Amino acid sequence: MSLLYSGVVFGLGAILVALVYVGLSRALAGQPVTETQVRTMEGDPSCLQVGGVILCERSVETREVTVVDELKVVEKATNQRALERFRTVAFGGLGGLFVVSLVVGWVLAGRFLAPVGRITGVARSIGETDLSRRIRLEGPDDELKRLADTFDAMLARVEGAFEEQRSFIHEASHELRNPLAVMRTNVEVALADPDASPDELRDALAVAGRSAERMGVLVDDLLTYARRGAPEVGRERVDLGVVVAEAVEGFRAAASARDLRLVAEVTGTVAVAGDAGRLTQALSNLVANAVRLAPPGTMVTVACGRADESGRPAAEGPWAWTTVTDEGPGIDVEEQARVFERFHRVPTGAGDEAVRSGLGLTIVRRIALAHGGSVGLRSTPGAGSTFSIWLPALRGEDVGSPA
Amino acid sequence: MRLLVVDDEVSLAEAVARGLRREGYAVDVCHDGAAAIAQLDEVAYDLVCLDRTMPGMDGIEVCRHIRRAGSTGPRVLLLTARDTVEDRVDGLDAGADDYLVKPFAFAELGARVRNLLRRDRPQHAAVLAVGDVRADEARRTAFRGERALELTTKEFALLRYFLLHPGEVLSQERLLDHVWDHAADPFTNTVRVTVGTLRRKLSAAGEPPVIETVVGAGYRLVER
Repeated sequence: MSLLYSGVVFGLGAILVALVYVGLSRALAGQPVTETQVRTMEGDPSCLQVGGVILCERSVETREVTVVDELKVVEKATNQRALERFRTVAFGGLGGLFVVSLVVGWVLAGRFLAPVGRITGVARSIGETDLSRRIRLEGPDDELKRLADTFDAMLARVEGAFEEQRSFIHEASHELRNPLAVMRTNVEVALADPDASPDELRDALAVAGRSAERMGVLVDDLLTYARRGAPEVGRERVDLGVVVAEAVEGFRAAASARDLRLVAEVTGTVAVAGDAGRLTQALSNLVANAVRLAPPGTMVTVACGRADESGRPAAEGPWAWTTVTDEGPGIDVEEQARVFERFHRVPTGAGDEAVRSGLGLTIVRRIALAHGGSVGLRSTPGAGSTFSIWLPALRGEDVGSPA
Repeated sequence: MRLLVVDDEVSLAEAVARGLRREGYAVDVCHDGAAAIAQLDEVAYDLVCLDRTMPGMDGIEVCRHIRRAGSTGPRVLLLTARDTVEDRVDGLDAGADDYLVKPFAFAELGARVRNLLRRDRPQHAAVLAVGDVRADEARRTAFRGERALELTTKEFALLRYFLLHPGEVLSQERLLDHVWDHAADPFTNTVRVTVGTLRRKLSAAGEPPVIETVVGAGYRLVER
């Protein structure tokens, strides 16, 4: 590195010296003293003026030629000497410059490249230790500082993603262990009893079957969650009215089986940019919860619309929303903050914790976030709950042209 | 030996209880921390199988409650789906005696329960013996001298309790508390009947009796 640097400095020095040399030699060769400075004295043609020196001769015809010739010789020799001297000095200087530049280059390169070395060191040590290391480069806000800061920011993101992944796997395995434990213990205890009656064996099998079913639900949701983990979503124009209609249609049978009225409330077109399949899934998760938990005979309303910044209904507002409202038991205030957490199961009193994965609402939130939106919950214990998904609305002029 | 199984997974708790009952323990079941504490305040359990993660009050809190209550509380075996080192350290620091990760083999749970209950005894052997009466907990077999005894689960549990407290006078209430679970009706003569049949089986070949009746106080196992 420093070799290259001093090489460049040396090259530039050499070019400079060469240019000066060429220029000088041209100037010296093209400007003979004789033409510009040897003049015939005015008023006395027998005398010649050379610079400030006045030469007078008898024979005017020959004197000029002789003097000029002599002067030319002197001049040439002087020029030659000057150039030679210049060459010597220049070569000496260049050699010195080369040595100095080598040293200066070494020192400067060392100083400039120290942060690069540090970045390299950190990058290398990450494989060996953990992702929590950072470069934390001090110093002026130059290219290297910015590089180090960018690197740190990237590490933070990677570490966050890793941490998320790790805790997810940890929680997921924990969630899978419970039904496994139920299955294994029931089967082992039933098998170990030589006098077990057919009914007892049947019970054990039924428990094992339910556990297997629960693991199935959990694995399905885990896969959905893992796929939805990527924030990439499609960006086509989606009409939330259509999403609402689809979600409602999908649960009509389940709702009537539980004697629930499932109502869609859609006014006008509510367009967002996003992935229709994922938005339908998010809304379906909300509808599924409501249909599963609402008391028989009550109403579940699925609606969508537009709102302004403060959440008030506004036909041309910047936000699009879709909600699912039930007249169910509502959710306790302490629980409300946690409902969207991974693997958090709200106690419903329905005794169905066994077949819930605790991921449904987390998936809803993920999908909303991936669309640049958010989720909300308003619930009054005893009166019902409203789950909402908020998405940036497509404005009138955007309609028809995907963002 | 009276055991309490606490797990919010109802079907797991029931299966564990069923298996432990077959090994001759008196087992009660409850499904959340608050109920467990109410039970623990009422009955002097010998051991608690405690699920770590439960809604509301979790296993760690129940464990701390037990240890706050006194040093002679029950042995605590934590059952848990969490298995990181921190989880285990937390559990043991909260006062658990042992830690078993779900899903576990029931045979291992049984072995750990036996092991924990043995810790209070002077001799740490797997086979309990007083005089010529022996009981092998792991195989669930009992002997008088070289003669194998055909005991029901309850008789075996009763014999084990006598063997664990040789020479002590054990009242009917105490036997009912430690050998029978909540399902037993405290107003029947079930203790007297079971002690009677056990006593007959122990002396069926004409050996001298080993369970004495202490009038007005209870029963005592003597060494022969």
